[in-house]
Amino acid sequence: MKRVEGQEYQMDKKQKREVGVGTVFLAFGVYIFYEALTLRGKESLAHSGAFFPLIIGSIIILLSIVLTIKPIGQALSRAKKAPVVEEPTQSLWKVGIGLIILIAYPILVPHTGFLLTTFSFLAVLMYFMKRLRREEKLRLSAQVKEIVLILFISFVVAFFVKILFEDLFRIPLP
Amino acid sequence: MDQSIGDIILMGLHWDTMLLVFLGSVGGMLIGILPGLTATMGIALLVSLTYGLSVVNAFAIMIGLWIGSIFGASRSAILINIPGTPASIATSFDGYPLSKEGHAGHAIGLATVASFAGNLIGVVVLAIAIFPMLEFALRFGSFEFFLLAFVGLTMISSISPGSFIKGLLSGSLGFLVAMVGIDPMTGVLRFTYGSVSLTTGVSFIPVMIGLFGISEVLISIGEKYPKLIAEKIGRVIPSFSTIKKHSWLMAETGLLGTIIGALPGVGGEVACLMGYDYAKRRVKHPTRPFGKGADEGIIAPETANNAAIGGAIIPMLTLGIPGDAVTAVLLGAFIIHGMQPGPLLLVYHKEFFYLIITFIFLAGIFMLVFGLSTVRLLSKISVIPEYILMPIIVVLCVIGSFALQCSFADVHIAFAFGILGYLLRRFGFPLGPLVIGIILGPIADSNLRRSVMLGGGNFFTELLGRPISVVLLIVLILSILSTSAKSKKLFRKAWSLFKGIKVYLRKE
Repeated sequence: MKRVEGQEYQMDKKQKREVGVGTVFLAFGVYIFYEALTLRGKESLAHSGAFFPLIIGSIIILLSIVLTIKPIGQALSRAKKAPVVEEPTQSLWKVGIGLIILIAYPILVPHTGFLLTTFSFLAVLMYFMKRLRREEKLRLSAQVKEIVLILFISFVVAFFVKILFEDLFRIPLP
Repeated sequence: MDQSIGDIILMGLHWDTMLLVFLGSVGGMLIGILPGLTATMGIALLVSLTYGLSVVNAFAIMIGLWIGSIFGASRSAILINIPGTPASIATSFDGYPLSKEGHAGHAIGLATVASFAGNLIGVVVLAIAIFPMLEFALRFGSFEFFLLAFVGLTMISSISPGSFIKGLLSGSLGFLVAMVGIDPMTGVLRFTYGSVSLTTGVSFIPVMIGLFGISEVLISIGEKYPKLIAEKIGRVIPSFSTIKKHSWLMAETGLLGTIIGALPGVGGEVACLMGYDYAKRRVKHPTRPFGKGADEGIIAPETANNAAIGGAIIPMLTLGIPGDAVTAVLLGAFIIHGMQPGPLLLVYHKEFFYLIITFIFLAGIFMLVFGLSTVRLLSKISVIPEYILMPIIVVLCVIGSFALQCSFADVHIAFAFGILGYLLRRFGFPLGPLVIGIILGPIADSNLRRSVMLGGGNFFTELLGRPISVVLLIVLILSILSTSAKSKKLFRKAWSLFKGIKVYLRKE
């Protein structure tokens, strides 16, 4: 825990995140409990379809209270704690763009066909991920080479997958 | 099926079935070698892709893939210090240091032989223990099954990475997912929100594909992977004297791995770490210090994690309870092929057990030969960049989730759970308990209600009057308490006090 002079009870990023996650789960547990209550019919509770969801909703509420309180308790504690090691964070914008590309793939397949969509998807995602990993700026000729290689791999993979699943294994493709 | 054991084994040794075991093993080895791909993901994809095959052939390829992936995972652990699957974590502790000194071939050879030994030991224990275990399992009633479901969940939550609370929350989410659809006892629609496709529940395989496939792709987009360079290979096949020297260690860790694999919810990951820990305590004079390239540090975890496969099959076949995430997916495969997992599976389909043993044994032999002869070729595969690999995985995930029911709804489910899996992993929630919760949810739900109905107003009296239930209740309480630091302190104090009393009484 970070100790700042004059501000002893400061929560670090991880603890704040835990409180946030615990709160979300608490809200979710309450929602599940409420929804489960609407499932109850005329039969007794123990025989109804609401019984187990109510138990699980209660468990989620209890566990999320513990999850929320624990980091607050740690922040308020006066005992010496080992330094908090922040795990490497994920870049949200990269994941967001990647997710958009991923979601576009099954949406477009029914409209543009499997082969074309798969080829395009592979090329776009491979180029996007390669750009993310690139450590230095490449010359134009190297960039062109990279794009040609990606297009070639995308074409081979798309074609190979179509032949393998549809023609050889007779597995229906989307 | 009224056939002799010999006929059943011959059925498993038919050329097309053997070919499928071989192909599954090779595919599994490739999956194991490539970091980011797991046996669970591979089998989840295969379940839908092999739907059109007979149940025997489908399981031949899936068992082959499972065995192959555990064999293959040790290679990437040794060559690039990234275990191909979590079950080979401990192999990298000593495998990678050996590899850095140019002895990668020696390490891989040891790992392959140890894996085969573990495979063999697991199969032998499975063959001996399965039917006594089945006799025991047939005594389980609704009280016992309900408690066992919670024991499985708490055990996997207690050993999963991240906190125990998060493991239980993840498992609770799994229980909830399992409840979507029509309640089998009352016919009430639960959490369907008016959707027709959710009426039959959430398909298990697209969920697995999403959790383990799509989420892994999202993780790899967000993280920076290190540049992968495989080390030089050198001599591969270990000498006979080396194998003989370590044969007792293989036998002991093989037995340990099998027992750990048989515990519900606990699998290869725990087996490999406990095997490594056992070797550190047991071996007084290793070939090198542990952590610096000791042969024993490779042999012990690899024997244990392969033996755990045989162990994990015991609860899967006798109780219908998964031993780990892979057996959870295999249980889903049973249901898809029209077979109800549980104690009666082996009563009505005894031939299945002998076929599974045959497939495990065959896969082990294929991996021993194939694994030792293709080390140099396969080492190049482990460094395929993830910007090529991950997009291909997405395509396979879409095909795999679509192929089961030719429905885009399943593809949407896969993506939804992929996003959920990513968020859970991002915030430190393990996925293992979620998977176990999905499988155990219906078991826990229906058996709890049945128990309450049978017990009438005396549910707890009835529960405590059943010896097996009492034992399971004690195991449940202990598995929860074992995660608490305060409880561990209390146990240590109680143990010291007990030892002190013993010493005092002896002196008297």
